[in-house]
Amino acid sequence: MTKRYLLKFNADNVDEPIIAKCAREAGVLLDVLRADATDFAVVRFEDSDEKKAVEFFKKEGVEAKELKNAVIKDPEKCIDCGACISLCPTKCFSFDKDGKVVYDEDKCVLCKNCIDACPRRALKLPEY
Amino acid sequence: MTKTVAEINKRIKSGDALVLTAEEMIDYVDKHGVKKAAKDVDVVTTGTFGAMCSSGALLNFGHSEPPIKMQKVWLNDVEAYTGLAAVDAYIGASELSQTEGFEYGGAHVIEDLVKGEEIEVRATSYGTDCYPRKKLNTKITIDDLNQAILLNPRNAYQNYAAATNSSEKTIYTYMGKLAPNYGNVTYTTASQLSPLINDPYLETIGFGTKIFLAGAEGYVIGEGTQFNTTVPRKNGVPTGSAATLAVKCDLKKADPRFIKGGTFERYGVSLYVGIGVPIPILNEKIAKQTAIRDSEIWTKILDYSVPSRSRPAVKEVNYEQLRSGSIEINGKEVRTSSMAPLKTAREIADILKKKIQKGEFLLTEPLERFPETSFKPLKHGEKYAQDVMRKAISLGPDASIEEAARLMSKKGIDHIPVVDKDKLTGIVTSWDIAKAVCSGKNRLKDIATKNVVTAKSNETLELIAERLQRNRISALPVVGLKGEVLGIIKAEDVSGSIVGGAK
Repeated sequence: MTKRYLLKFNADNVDEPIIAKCAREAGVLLDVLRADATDFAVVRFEDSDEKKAVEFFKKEGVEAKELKNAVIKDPEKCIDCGACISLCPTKCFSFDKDGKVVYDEDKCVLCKNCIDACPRRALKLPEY
Repeated sequence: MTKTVAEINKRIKSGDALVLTAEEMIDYVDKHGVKKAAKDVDVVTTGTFGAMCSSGALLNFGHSEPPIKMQKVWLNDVEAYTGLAAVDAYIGASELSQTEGFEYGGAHVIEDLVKGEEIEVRATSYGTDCYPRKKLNTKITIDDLNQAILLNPRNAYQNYAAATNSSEKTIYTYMGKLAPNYGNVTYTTASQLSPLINDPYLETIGFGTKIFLAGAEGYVIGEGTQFNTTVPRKNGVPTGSAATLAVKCDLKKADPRFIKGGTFERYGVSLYVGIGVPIPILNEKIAKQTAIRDSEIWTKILDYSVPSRSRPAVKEVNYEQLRSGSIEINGKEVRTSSMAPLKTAREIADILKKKIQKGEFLLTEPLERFPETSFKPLKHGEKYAQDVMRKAISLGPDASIEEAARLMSKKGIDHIPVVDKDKLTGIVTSWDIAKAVCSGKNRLKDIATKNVVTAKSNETLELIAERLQRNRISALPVVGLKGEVLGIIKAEDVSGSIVGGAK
């Protein structure tokens, strides 16, 4: 299992190679899911690395918060068409036996591929 | 063994009718055979729920005091057509909001009306002696309207091609988002549950057939637009978009679960419409047809990256393959997406089944069967490569420079396509010949331009003019599917045709 974290940079650390440093110094293998170089990054790592990573970010003064939500699916709006299914690189979406679209958010890497493909606008990014 | 609609209705009324959904019919025929199924089963119900752009609603607002002859009207900023008397308007499903663009449109207005939500109505007029008001601003719900009639010119397509994208960039279409390099395939039909696939020759469905429409009781009011009976069939079912239905119902009786707006990114707005059609099992042929299964229904996967009316087919597949979640294209596994929820199609077939079982929904015999007809393309006087191309004079790769020079001078041409085994491999211009004389090269293959800019015979002159300009060239060969040279187009052929040569 992996965990997703939202990192928020500030004026003191925005020009530091924080993520690379975390990999090298704390020995945590990070997967960068989304990033805005001056503002935030969403990273993913193994559950077992959580403590090391969180400690490292604390030391560097980077605000780190676990992201429970991946892309948010609004079940009221979703009509179970399945437009999202073939566009998700990590296969988050599938039909269950009744033809309902089920969503495994653990697999979500926040690539956003599905969002503009949803005709019902039932998918959106969590707010950072 | 044959039955009549009247006999079936009698059994429905007495509560004796055996009604199955199209999916249950497959199992019934499997278990008992067609003969017994035709005898036992009275009605098979079908269902579909998909984006049907050619839809809309006819609304009557009633008169204000003083009255207005609405010349323009907007519902939540979506314009409706008012070229009908004073206070009638037709709101088309795919009309876009003037403030929200693709995110809201006529389809969403219809959805909001059915949900009972308040809609802002804005109207303007020039004012007449009998209709003096020039402006109107008000809010209404569906209950305030005198009539709200769902009136859809083309719904319930009998089969439809699936879509993919061979190009290197993501494209956005009415078939959804198509990822590059055959990144995915989308398809949109209820296949084995679909109304017109279960009655492929429209033997029981016709003008006046009573149906389930958007949760209400509706009627088939004619063949839909683009109705086409000439599409090749496999197992009786057309292998592409063929028959369609024009339908109507009272929008005030519609159920919001079965009528919803949708946005297709960078394409536009469409209306998801739920339709269920009951098929009376009059004889064995009809029984057999309603037992059709996904593996017997075929469609083509078209390449939507080709911006043409006739998109090339990548392959032919059946719906069992499409519904498995992935299919194979060029040796690669490509995942599939349905654009039409099967779950809702099932729900519709099931609701219709229960209504018939309870005697709440009787079957109708069509007042008229549909005609046999084809679907014509639009004539618009546009010229294509094939209309202006001239005969190409080609040489082989081993021809000499001298030979080419002689041919150019004799025929008065500046371009010679180089052709090897009937395939275009290069092109030589008079300038290339001049340069070759200086450099002492001898064979055409040594001096020809290898990456030749070409055109297809069905490409428009507009497209070709743009290509000539972009590549700064004065001519290009027109090639066929196998790379054979069909002709050559010079810049002057294009400009001549556009400026003065048009006949």
